[in-house]
Amino acid sequence: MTLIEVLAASVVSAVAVVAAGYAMDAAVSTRATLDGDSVEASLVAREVYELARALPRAPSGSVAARNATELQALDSLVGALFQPPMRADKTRDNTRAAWKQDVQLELFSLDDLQTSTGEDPALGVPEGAERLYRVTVTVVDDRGTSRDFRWWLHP
Amino acid sequence: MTRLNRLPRPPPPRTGAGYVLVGALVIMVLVGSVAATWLRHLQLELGGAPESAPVIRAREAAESALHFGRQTLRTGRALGTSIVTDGELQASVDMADLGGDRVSLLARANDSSGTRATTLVEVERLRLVEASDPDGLPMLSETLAASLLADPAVPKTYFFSDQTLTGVDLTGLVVIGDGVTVRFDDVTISGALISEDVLIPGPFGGYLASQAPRATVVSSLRINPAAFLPGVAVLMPDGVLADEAGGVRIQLAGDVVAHEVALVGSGAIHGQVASVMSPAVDAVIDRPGHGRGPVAWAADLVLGVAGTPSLFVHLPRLSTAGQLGAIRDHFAP
Repeated sequence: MTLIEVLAASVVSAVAVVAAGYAMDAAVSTRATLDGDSVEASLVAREVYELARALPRAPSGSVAARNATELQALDSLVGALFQPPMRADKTRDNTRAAWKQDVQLELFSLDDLQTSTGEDPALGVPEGAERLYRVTVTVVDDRGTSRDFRWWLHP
Repeated sequence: MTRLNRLPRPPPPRTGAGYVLVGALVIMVLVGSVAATWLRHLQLELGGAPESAPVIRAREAAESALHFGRQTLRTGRALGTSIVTDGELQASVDMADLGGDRVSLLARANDSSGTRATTLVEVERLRLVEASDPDGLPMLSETLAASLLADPAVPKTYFFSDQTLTGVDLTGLVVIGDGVTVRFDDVTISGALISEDVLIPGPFGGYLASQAPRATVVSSLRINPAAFLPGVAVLMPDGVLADEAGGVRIQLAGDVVAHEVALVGSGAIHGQVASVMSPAVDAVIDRPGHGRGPVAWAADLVLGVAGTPSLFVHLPRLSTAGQLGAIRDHFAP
């Protein structure tokens, strides 16, 4: 084996090592895309957002809903907890019996979407108020993994 | 001593082992490169797939940000670009006036990979009148009021003391002074009924019942708007339009604006009714088009800035800036 052959083999080996490393990195990223951030959890959370959009804004006085009967208006979602998860049509998703949806509502000024105004969302605000609700849905799956999903909602 | 000539040593036989090694490594590189390229492709494809979590989150952040745009229109805030962050993802909302009552809302949401979702909505605004005082009601611009006042071709009839008009046909602007009550008994106006302060520049200020001009219908009142102020029948933001008793008949062929509107009787109002107090208009009074959808206001009336989206046009997801421009050009050439 000549010196040239050894050098060529070294270069080729180095390229092979780099390619293998890159391939492993891509594989890990691909897996993260598939598993690291569950599409399923986001869809379960979105059901609450769709539900919130359709609920009347005028306070009902029924807060912290646990079932469909208690879901009367948007204020019912303040502190609401659903297990099995609630669908947007107010039916239960019994195929995910161990999953939970924990819902919180906050009010923010249009001028400052970073800091909650501290106002009680259960009291409601007029339709023309310079406020937005922030709906936070915490989804806990059957493995106990918790994820937060947030949406803005107009009064 | 004989020196033997040595033959040169023959080179060692080549075994080919070096070439085999190089060949094997080259094959490894090729296979590795193909695998790396395929995995990278898969990674990118999944990252951009509509069902992948980052894309879903970005898309929903953009959709969520539209609520900010909606409330901006609803409250009459200035249009422009705003950053909307929900604590995790950041979205931007570009709001642009397209002329008339049309507004475009362009929401874009970004994640760590850059812009991932774009939602473009065209909105038709329905102007809102939510007045808590006379200055919140539709009005004439000061320019138009001044030109009407100065125009000799527009007849003006002023009432600065209480009067009862019986069987009269009036033309032009019928102006009622502050604190004056005019009773209309079988009267026709070809023009508009307005309060004195409509022609005076500046705000009305708070409502004072004792200073309010009052138009009281005794038997019948017909108002047909004229060409100098089309579509406006009654403009008394600081005044009261009422009837004296049941059984009156009204025919108002234009918009009616007053601090208080209380009409019991029969007839028709062919226009919008705006008042600070909840208008009390007898159900017997016909209001063509009322309640069936947006009805245009008289063009000369200046409305407030607040509006509510009445029609959404949701455009599909965009891939390139060029497509965005083409769509915008289509809607606002």
